[in-house]
Amino acid sequence: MKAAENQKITKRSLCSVSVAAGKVAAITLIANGLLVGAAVAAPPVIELEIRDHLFYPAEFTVPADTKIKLLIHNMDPTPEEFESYELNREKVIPGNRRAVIFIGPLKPGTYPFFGEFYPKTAQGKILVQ
Amino acid sequence: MLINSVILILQETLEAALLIGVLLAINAQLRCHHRWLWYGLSTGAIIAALFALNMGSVAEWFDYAGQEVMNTVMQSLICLFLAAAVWLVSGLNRFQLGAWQQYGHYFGRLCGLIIMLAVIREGQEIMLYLGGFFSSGKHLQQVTMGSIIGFGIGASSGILLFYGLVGLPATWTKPVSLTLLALFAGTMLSQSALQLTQVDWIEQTAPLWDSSALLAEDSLLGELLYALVGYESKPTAAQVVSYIAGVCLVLIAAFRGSRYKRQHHLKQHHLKQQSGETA
Repeated sequence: MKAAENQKITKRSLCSVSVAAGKVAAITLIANGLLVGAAVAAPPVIELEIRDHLFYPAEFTVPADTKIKLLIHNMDPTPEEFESYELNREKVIPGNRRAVIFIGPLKPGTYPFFGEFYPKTAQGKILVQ
Repeated sequence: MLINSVILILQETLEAALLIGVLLAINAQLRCHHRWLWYGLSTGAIIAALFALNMGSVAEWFDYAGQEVMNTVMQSLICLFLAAAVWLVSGLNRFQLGAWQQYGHYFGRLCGLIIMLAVIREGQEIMLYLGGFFSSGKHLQQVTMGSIIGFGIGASSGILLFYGLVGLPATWTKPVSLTLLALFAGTMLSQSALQLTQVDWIEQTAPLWDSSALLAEDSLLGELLYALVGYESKPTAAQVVSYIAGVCLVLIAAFRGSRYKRQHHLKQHHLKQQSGETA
């Protein structure tokens, strides 16, 4: 009897906590929504390839203050992870698959990136001008 | 290859290990059973394997945003479950637990779900990484050794945190643990904001600050703080807002939870007094 009562209470109170959680989540979504700008023109696409745990091209230049779409083809049968602390990006790309990562708008400078699974060979940098 | 594997596996294990350490510390203080740990770990590992095997197709969902969307869903769920778990145990101590048995049960179930999600998130990447080496057969010995060492350090950190929390003065264990859970919830939402920025679902804005010169994210302390409290050297506004929202959500749950139990306790006390008077 008591256990059943407790169970009922717990269920009711879990409801109230989920309502509160919902409110906070909604606020976050709205806040995030405010940060979402209207997509203007499609950003320029830069294609990269991973072959034998190397990036091709390993170095390329992109314009400053511009959003760029990186399209990375992993030609190796093994997965790789594109990672860059400077760009704050991290994404696994399974073997023989493609991945899309958006970067920028960036300030002028050099932004190194690497493949976390084969960091010795898979290295590159983006020059932003 | 050895050092790379140590670092990679450590990075992936650390976050989950620390989270498990905190949940176990709360559990130990309440003296609840911890079967949920094993359920969470095993189901998490199985689902992670399924994800890793199908990562190729999952990644292509939503126009190549599949990984990010899945991660965001899992991270948001972890945040909500943490809030609910914190609500359940706030204001509860082991002396009352007899009357509040159900709370212990629900807490256990939620912990199981949280751990399952944490293991799926980190496990799938470990499995993809190791799967690549096992299929190619190269560097196998070094990678295996490195992974074992990395996993060992990660697991030890979780155990160390557990004993650190349990070893605190009894009145401190729960507040400190709950604070860590609140920061962890913030980390989850902040990471999901970053994931959505990466696939352009949230607009990239200039970082609010850059503390990479002060404390680099790839330094030892940086990595530890990243796993423990979600340290980012160059966070965007979306990340900071999400982080604060996650922390607040859990803190609100903690206050609401203990207030609810106090009021309910008083009500029961009055009822008992009344029934005593009529008798």
